[in-house]
Amino acid sequence: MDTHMKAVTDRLFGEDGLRASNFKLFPGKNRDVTPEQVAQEINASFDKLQAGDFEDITALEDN
Amino acid sequence: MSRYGDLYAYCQGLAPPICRNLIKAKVLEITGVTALSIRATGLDENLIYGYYFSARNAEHPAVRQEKGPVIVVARSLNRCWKRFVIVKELMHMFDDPLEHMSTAVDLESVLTHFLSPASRTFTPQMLSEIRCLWMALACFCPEEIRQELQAKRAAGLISDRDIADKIRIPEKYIPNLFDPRYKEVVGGLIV
Repeated sequence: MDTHMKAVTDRLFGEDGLRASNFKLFPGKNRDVTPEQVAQEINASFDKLQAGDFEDITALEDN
Repeated sequence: MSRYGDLYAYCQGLAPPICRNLIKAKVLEITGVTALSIRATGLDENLIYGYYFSARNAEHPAVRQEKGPVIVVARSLNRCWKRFVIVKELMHMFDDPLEHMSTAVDLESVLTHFLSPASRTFTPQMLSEIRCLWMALACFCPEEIRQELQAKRAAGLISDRDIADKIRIPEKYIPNLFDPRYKEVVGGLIV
């Protein structure tokens, strides 16, 4: 398994990770990318969540 | 009627543009989940628009402050794309356990399928991705209004851009709304 794929699957499903019961995704606009690149991006985003680099848009009215 | 069927029935009484918070509240009511968080963060749109996860390890730093499932979406997306991605991911709260992605093999399989158009492998996880896209689409446009728009579109009286503006979803998915198989697909989702 490639490096970033292993890192994200450990993070998502590993005993010391999130132990996610379900993970689903919406792929980006470019399908000419590799699973390893997507895995790296997912992993980087979790770093951002942990660092507080996000906006809470749970209650945002969007219509 | 399926749990999604309950949601679909509820959405028929709403007027576009339908706020995703109404859809979210109804999904929580139907599933019995008391809370769900939605986060916007930096995601490369070339790679991924967003994702959904439910974590069993409540002590993990990424989720310690969360209550319940989390939807993450690229902050760079415009309003229409954000709400469509969010609602599509919301639909995964109706996933059957057999459709859950909970292992490395599941994730690799789905990513390979997404990124390889010629792939013939349709795992339950991949099928749920496809299904939830249609489920989200049907939430945004009540059937009566869809049929009115279909007639106007067929007569050349309204463009896909106009329809996208009216129901506030990405123009890319407007053709799906008028796909000849739409009624058959959605009909199969609500039973």
